[in-house]
Amino acid sequence: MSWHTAGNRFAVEVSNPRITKTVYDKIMRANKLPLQGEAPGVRIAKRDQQSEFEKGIVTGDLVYVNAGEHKGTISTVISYTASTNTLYLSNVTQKSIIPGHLKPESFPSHLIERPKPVPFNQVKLAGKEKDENGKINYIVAEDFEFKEKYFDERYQRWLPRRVAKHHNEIEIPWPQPELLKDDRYSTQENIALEKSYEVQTIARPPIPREALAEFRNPYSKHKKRVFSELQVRRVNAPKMPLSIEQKIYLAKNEGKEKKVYQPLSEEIKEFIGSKMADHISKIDNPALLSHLDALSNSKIPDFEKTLANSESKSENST
Amino acid sequence: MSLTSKEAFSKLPQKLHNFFIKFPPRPYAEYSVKPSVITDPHLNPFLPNKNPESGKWQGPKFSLRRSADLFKMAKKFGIQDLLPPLPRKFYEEKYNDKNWMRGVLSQKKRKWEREFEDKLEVRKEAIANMDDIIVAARPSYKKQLQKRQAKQKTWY
Repeated sequence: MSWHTAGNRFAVEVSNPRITKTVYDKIMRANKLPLQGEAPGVRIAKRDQQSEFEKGIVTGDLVYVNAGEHKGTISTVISYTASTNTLYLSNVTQKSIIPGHLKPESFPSHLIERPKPVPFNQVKLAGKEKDENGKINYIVAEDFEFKEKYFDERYQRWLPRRVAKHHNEIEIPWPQPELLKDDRYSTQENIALEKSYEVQTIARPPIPREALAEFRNPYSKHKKRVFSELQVRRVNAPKMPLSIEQKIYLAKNEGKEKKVYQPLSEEIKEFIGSKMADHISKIDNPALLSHLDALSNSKIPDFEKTLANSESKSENST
Repeated sequence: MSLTSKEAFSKLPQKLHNFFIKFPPRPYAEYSVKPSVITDPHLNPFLPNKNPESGKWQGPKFSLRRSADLFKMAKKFGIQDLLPPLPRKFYEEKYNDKNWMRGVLSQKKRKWEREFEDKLEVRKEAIANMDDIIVAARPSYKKQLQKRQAKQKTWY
């Protein structure tokens, strides 16, 4: 085995993108500026994380560190990290070294002071108070609780009132939020609110009524009120020609007179009536009698046709 | 409630009146019971009739449904007998003259169930005449019988 092949065995295969990425990540991890101190304690699962307003201590609050290396410090909160449930405070710092190639030139030293994460349970909410002599006193709340919500104009959101526990008359107001300053990328308020479009609606036609005649032909053949002969012929179906059988049938029945019905004679009427009278006299059920009445009153269109076709009528008309 | 015949006739529904104008009631007109030809003056409108010229059958002038309607309405007024003979029966007449299926009248049962009573009868008879049957098959049994009779205890 030559040295060349032996060397290839340990060489990183640059053409493989997967390996390239892992190697790249490794290098980056080694040379990265260390995080702002590894957070003490375990990481909190995303579903269990709470926002700073839910926790009750937000950026800008004054807090008192009551345990650990910096016990007794009063400091303002720079930020809250929900994933580790820690706070960065302005006073609580630690020293760390920046690797040479990551150090900005403006920095005088490789050793820098940077904020150190403080666990949430090691701080207590504090407040400032001026007495009559102008001396500033700090008050630390042992614990606090939330009361009814109100709309905070500064934060533009609904927030609960924060009071000291067991001393509800002592309210600890939320801190003044940091005001956002306009930079060269921000849009001016009047420009943002300017209405530069118009809502389209079918209530307002896009073409003025007066201009419609320009678009439409009033003399179109489709707008004529009178049909031409050809059009009439196209619209109406032609009369079906008769078959030979039909013609024979019609020729045969040409001379025959149409059948004329005879109205019922008085004798027959009497006969039917007597039978019905016998039957109806035997019925004593009032419901059946009313049903028979309803049947008697029922009418059919064919009856009138039959009467019109009967002999007596035709005699009357002639 | 007693009505005069004129009043009663005024209660005749138009449907029946219309029919009687076209086909007068029975005693005043005759109607064939069987299908006939269309030229027959006594043709029955409820039955199919043949065209003798073309040899084709024409369907009944009044379908089964329409004839049933007419009959049922006429029956309510007690004049169903005046209609021409109908090809089907209604109500009690239909029920009484029905050709019932055997299975509806009496259940068939399994074969052993059908033969069970006869079988018991035969068996009963055989048990009653057991001695004679054994004697016929085995004549020496007669002695045994006589012995048994001699041994039989009596009160005297």
